Amino acid sequence: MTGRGQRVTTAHGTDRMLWEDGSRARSEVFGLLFERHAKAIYNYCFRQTGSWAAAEDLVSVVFLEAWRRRRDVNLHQDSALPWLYGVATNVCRNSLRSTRRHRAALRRITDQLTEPDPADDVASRVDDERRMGEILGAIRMLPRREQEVLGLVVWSGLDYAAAAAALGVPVGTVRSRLSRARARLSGHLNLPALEEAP
Amino acid sequence: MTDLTPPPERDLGLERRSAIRAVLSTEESQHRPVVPVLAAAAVVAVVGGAAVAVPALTDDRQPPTGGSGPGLTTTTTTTTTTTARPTTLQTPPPRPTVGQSNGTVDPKDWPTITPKPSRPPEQTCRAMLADYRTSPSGSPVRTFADAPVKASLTGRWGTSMIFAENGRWVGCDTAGYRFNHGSIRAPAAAAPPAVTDNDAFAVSQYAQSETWQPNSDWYHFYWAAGVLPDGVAKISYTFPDGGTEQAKVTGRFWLMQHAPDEPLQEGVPEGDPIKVTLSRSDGSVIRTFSLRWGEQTCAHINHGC
Repeated sequence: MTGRGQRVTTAHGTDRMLWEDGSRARSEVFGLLFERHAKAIYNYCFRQTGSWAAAEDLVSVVFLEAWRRRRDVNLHQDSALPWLYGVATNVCRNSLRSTRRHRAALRRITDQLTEPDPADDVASRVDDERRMGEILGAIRMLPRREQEVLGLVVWSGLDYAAAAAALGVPVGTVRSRLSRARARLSGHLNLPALEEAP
Repeated sequence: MTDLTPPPERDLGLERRSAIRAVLSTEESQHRPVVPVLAAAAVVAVVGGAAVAVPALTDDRQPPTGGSGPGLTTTTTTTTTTTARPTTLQTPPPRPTVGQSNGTVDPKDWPTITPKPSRPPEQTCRAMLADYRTSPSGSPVRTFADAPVKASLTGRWGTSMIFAENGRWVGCDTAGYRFNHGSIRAPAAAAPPAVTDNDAFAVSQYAQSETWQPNSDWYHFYWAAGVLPDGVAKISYTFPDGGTEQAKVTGRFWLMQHAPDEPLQEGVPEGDPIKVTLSRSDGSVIRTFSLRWGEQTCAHINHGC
């Protein structure tokens, strides 16, 4: 999985260095952050919805929403990714409302797309969606908040502090939600990478 | 044992990636306020079921919380997009496929959810409000935990309540609370909405079950709350199943619940839109209108529909 929620350093430095670089236009900085984190957010949205098509729309909405709220960006350990995960969590939770708010921009994005996906890619995407649908069905008995912690910590690889920053809750709350989720699923479902979580 | 390892990650297509970037780069000009900041009355925040006049927001004055709250629309907006009738979003929490071999969970293996103990409705709502910090648009919710109850309506699945103080109100419903699905509407000003403000009559709709187990029967449940518009004495709702409910009016507040007896069938379209009729005290109809599925049928803020 990508998107560990840890410090990210690239050719342009950390997210904080990028964000605080006064020589760049805000829109340029945001574009670079998009390039940096689009894949992580795209896959997070897929794991929330079980649909690649929905995830494509939602990743657009997440960054449109993040742009709208860019004055509130909250960098965690010099990374904007936990904050973006937080925006994505809310967008996926209220996908209908979020999509409605940005429908004009989404239309402009769709209008620019011309190439259909190759057939073999379509087949594997369908396989992915079937698999993810089964997984989402299996964890549906968890309260939404526990599902979200599961998605951030276990599937997206955030540490507890980054997940707490994403959700705007104390670290102890993340820990207890994950613990409860694990207890509920224990003996029934095999959680990947849970043991690796800090 | 079901393996919860998701499929491998994919990258966003190059074409879509560049399309998103292109649109993001134009958003700055798109999002400039269309009305002056001082023209406060020109902007209406549709918050839950009520319309509240608020100052226009520039990009620098957006609500502080992340996420997606109710939309901001200007009163000068005249276009109304017809929302396609939702399918999956309006159905109950999807049930896992039962009895297949592809990693699904057999009902007998389904972990039992321990429901929260029942409590008196007011206590339940106060606890829910105390647990919920702010609405998606940044309005404080927790502060209503100690506000007086202004209206209450009990039905099959629970009790809907209105709490109000300092010129603002909030709605709360206890249905599903024991399974972490009680619902809260966004706080709003306790001012009468316009009779033409359809959003002020938006309902919360989501599925209820006695046990919230995937193989149990699920039922549609609707509730709505608000402040009476000037001149309106009665509010009635007509639902796709044919049922009609009269809102219970208490002072200047009103509450409505609808709980069909028949379990819902997955994959069955919602049917006709929900109709709302506003009447005067003599029974004469002021107006009748339909709610837009999805846009005006998911009025709560603390979970999905």
